[in-house]
Amino acid sequence: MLNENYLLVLVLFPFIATLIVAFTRGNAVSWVSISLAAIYFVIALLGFSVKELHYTAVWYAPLGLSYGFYLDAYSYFLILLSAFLTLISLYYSRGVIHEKLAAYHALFHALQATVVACLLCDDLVFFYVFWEAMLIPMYFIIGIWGGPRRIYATMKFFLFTFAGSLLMLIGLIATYVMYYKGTGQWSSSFHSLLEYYQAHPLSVETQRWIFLSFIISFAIKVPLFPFHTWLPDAHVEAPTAGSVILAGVLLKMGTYGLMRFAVPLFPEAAAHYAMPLCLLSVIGIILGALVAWRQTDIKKLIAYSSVSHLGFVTLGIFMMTEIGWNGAYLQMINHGISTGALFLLVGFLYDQRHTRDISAYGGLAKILPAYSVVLAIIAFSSVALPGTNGFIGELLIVIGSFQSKVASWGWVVAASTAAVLGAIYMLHLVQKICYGKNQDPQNEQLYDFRFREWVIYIPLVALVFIIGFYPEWLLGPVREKTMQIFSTIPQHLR
Amino acid sequence: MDNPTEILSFVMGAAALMPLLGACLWFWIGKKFGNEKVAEKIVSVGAVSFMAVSFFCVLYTFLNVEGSARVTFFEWIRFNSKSAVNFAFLLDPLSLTLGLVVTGIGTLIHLYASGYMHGDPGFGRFFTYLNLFVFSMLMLTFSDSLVGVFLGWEGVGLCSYFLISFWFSEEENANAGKKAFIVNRIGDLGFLIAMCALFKVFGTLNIPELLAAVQAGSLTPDQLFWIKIACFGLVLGATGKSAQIPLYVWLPDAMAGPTPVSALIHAATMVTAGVYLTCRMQPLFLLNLEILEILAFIGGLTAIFAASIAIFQNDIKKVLAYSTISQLGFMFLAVGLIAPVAAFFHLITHACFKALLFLGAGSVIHGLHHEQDMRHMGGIRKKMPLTFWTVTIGVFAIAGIPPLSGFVSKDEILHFTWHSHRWWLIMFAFTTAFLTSFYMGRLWVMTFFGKFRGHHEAHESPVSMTAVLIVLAILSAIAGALNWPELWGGSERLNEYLRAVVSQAAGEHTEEAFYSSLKLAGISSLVGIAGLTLAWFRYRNFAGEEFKAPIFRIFKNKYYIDEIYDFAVVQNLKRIGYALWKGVDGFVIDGFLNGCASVSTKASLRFRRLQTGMTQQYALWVWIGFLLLLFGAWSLR
Repeated sequence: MLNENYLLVLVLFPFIATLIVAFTRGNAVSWVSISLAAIYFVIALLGFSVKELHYTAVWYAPLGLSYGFYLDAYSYFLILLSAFLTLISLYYSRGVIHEKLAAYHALFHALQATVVACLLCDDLVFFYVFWEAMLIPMYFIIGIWGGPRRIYATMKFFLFTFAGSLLMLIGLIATYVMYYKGTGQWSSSFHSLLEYYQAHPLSVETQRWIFLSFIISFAIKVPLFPFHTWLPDAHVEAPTAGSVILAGVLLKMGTYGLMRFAVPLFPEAAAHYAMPLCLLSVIGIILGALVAWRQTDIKKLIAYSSVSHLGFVTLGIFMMTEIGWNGAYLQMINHGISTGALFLLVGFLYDQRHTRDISAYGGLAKILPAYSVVLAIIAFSSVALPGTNGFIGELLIVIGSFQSKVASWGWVVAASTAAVLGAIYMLHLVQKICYGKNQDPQNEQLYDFRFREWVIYIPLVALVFIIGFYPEWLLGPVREKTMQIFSTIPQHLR
Repeated sequence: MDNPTEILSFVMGAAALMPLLGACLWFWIGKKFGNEKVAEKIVSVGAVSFMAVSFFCVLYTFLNVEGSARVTFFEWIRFNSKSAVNFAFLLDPLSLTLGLVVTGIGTLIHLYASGYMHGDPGFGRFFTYLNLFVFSMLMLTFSDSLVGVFLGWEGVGLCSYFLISFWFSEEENANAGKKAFIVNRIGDLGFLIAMCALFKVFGTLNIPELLAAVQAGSLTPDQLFWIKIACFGLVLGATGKSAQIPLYVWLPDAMAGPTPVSALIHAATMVTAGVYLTCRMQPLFLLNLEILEILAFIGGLTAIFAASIAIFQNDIKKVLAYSTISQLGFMFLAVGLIAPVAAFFHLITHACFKALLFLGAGSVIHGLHHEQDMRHMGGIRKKMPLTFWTVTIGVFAIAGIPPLSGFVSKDEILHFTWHSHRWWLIMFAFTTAFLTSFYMGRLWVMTFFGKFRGHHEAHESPVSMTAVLIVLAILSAIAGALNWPELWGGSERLNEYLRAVVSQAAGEHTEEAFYSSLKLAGISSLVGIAGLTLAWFRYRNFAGEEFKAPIFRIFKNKYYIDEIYDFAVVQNLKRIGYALWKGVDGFVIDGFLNGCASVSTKASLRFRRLQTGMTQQYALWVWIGFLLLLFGAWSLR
C-alpha cells in the first residue's frame, strides 16, 4: 500500500523534472524530458488503487499555514489525465519544435508541476499560489512558440485569468478570516475550513459574496459564457502541444475548483446562483456549437466546440444532482481525451501544410486513410456517439440534470440540441477535410501516419472505447467521491 | 456449459460478436491487401459466412427459447447504487422475430453485395461498414435497456452515414450522408429526452422493469405526465429513424449509397427500427391513446404523401425510396391503431419484397452499367429474364395481388383501418394502396416493357446476385403464410407468437366477420389490380413524355419540402451562428474588453503628463497632497 510519501513524490517529481530538463543541453533534451514524463505517468498510474491519501506538515503555525496535500478520486483522475496528455504532447513535439528546446520542455514540466500541486493542495494559500503559477508557463509557451498574433492572445489570456484570480484571492481571504472570527484560530487547511463551514454555515448573504468571487475566477478558467472569448484566441495562437494541455488540463481546473471548493464550501450560495449559472451554461453550449460551425480556422472550430462541451460540464455541476456531477466529472476527462486528440490531429496537418484553413483540405480520406479513420473516431467521440467515451458523460449529465430541482427540464432539452448542433459542426469538419475532392495539389504530398503517430493515437483511441464500453473503472471511484460530497450538502439544496 | 442460460448467452454473444469481429477483420484485410483478387475472395466468403453463423445463432435461440429470456454479459453504466444498465439481451418473440429478419435478409444481402461490389476499390471498407451495421442492428434489437437500444440506434445511423457517403469523392454523396446523420440526430434527441423522462419516473432504463412498472398501474398524474413526454420523444425518434413526416427528408437522398445498402439499411432493417421501438414500448403508448392517434395520423399522412411523390420520380431507386417511406407509413398507421402484430407482419413481408425490389433494381442498374434513370431503360425483360421474373413477383407483392405476401399483410392493416371508422385514415390507406400499385406498375412497365431507350447493352447479373433474387422472390411470395388469417383457414402463427408481448384487439370469428373481411380483401385486390392496369396502359408505349401540367411540378419537386427546410431552418441557423460569432463574441464581449483596454490606455496617457520631470511641479503636488491630508484629518476629527 502506498503511504503519504507517495503524495510527496507526486508533487515534487515534476518540479525536479523541470530542473533536470532545464539544465540538459543538446540532443538529449527531448529524450530526457519524454522519459521523465513517462516515468511520471507510471508513478501516477501506481496510485490507481488508492482511495484517499492525506499529508500535512506545519509550515507556519501562528497563521495556520501548512503543507497539506490530499489525494482522492477527483484529483487523481485529473492528475492521471495531465500526466498522460503531457507525455503525449511532449512526444508529439519531438521533431516539431526546434527552437529553445530545453526551455520548451522545461516549461511543460513546470506546467505539469503547478497543475498537480494545485490539484493536490489542501491548503488554500498554496492553492492560490499554484493557481496563479499555472498561468506563467502557459504564458511563455504561447508567447514564445505561438503564432503571429501571440502577443495579443497571451495578453488577453493572462489579463482575463489574472483578473479572475484576484477576485478569488479576496474570496479566499474572506473564507480564511471568517474561520478565525468563528473559532479564534487561524487555519487555511481546506479540510478544517470545510468541516467548520458545514457545521456553522455562514449567513447566506456572506456566502453569496464569497461564492461570487470564487465563481468568476473559475468561470473564466472554464470558460463559461460570457467569459470565453480569450479561449479561441489563445488556442489559435498556441503551439499544438500548448493547445492540448490548455484544453485538456488547464480548463478543467476551473470545473475542478467548482466541484472541490466553491460548491461544497458554500452550498447555499451555490443553490442561489445555480439557476443563472445554468442559463449561462446553456447559452454557452448553444452559442459555442453554432459559432463553431461557422469557423474556417480548424483550431477555432475546435476551441468553440470546447466552449460548448464545457458548458455541459458546468450544466451538470450547477444542476446539483449526483448523477449530473458524475457525468460532469467524466465529461471533463472525456473532453481532455477527445479535444486533446483533435488538436493533435489538426497539428498533424498544420505541421505539413502550415495552414489551418478548412478549405485548403478535402478528399484526404484517399490520401491519408489512417488519419481519416482516427479523425472520424475522435469526431464521433466528440459528438457523444454511444460506444465512445463522450456518450457516457453526456448521458449522465442529461439524465441527472433532467431530475434537477434547480431549473426546468426545458433547459435540458435546449442543452441537448447540442447533440444535433455538435453533429452539424463535427461532420462539417470531417467532410471538409476527408471527403469530397482534393482542393489543393499540395495535399498529394502529405504523408500518412507513421510509427510516431501510431504511438500517439493508439492510446487515445483505445481510451475512447475503453471508457465508452467499460466506464466503471473511472466512474466507480468518482461516484463514491460524489456521494461523499453530496452527503454534506443539505437535502433541500440538491 | 450445461446451464441453458449459459448456452444462450454464448450463442447470442456469438451472434452479435461475429459481425463485429468481421468488421475489424475486413477492414484490416482491405487495408493490407488493397483490392487484390484474393483479398476480395476472403472478404466476401468471410463476410457471408460470418453473417450466416450469426443467423443460425439467432435461429437456434428462436427455436430454444420458450416465452422470453434474458442474458446478461456485463455491467455498462452504473447511475447510482440502485440502478445500472447492462450489456444484456432480452430474448422475446418481438426481438427474436426482428433478429431473424435482420440476420436472414442480412445474410442474403451480403451474398448479393459480394457480387455487386466486385472490383470496387473500397471492397473491404464496404463489408466493414455493412458488418458493423448488422452488429449495431442486433444491439438495437436485442438490448434489454433503452440505453443499449440507443447504442444500436445511433450505431446504425453511423453506419448508414458511412455507407451513404461510401463513394465520398462526390460532394453530393458526402452531403447526403451528413444530412442523414443530422436529421436522424434530431430524432435521437427525442429518444434521449424519452430516456431522461423515464428515468425520472422509474429510476431505471431497463425495458422489462420499465414495462412492468407501467403495467403495475397506480401511477400519479405527475408520472403520467412524464410518460407522455417520453412517448412524444419516442415518436420523434421513430419519425427520424423510420423516415416519417416531418423527418423523412434524409431517406430519398440516402439512395446515394450502393444499392445493397439501400436494400439492407434503407428498406429492410434500419428504417423499421422506429416501428420496432414503438411496438416494444407499447404499454407506455397505451396510456397515451391520443399519441397513438397522432402516430396513426402521421403514418397515414406519410403513406399517401410519399406515394404521391413516388409517382413522379424517374430515378428507379428514388421511386423505391419513396415507396419505402410510404410503406413505413402503413406500419405506423397499424401501430397507431393498436395493431402492432399487423405492423410487424407488414414489416416482415416488406423486408422481403422491398429488399427484393431494391436488389432487382440494383441488378438492373448493374446490368445497364450504372444507369438509374427509368426513362433510359425499357424492354429489358428478354435480356434479364431472371431479374424480370423475380422483380415481377416483388411488384405484385407490394401492389397487393393475392395471395402474395404483400397482399396479406397490407390487407390486415386495411382491415384495422376500416374498423377504426376514421374516414381520413381509411381514405389515406386506400388511396395509398392504389397509388402504390400504380407507381410500382409504372416502374415495372418503364423498366421491362416497351422499347429499349438506353445507351448500353443490358446483360444479366452474376449468379451470386440472381440466386439471392430468387430466394427473396420465393420469400416474398409465401411470407403471407406466416400470418394467414384464421377466417380464411390460416393459423395466424405470428399473431399467436407476438401476442405474448404486445396487445392487439382479437379478431371476431363470426360469419359476418368472414364476409366483411372477404369484401375488404376483394376491394383491396381490386384497387391493386386497377393501379397496375392503369400503369400498364399509361406506360406501355412510353417514349419520354411525362405529365406536363404545372400542378404536377409540385409533386415532381417533392412539394419543395427540402427547399423549405433549407430556407427556414438551415439558412437561419447559419445566420444565427454568424451573428453570434461576430455580434455577441466579437462586438459585445470583445468590444467591451477592448473598450476597457483603450480607456485605460488613454487614461494612462493623460496621467503620464503629470510626470513632467520638473522639481517645482512635484513640490507643488506634494504641498497640495499635504494640505488635502490635513483637511482629511481635520474633517475626521
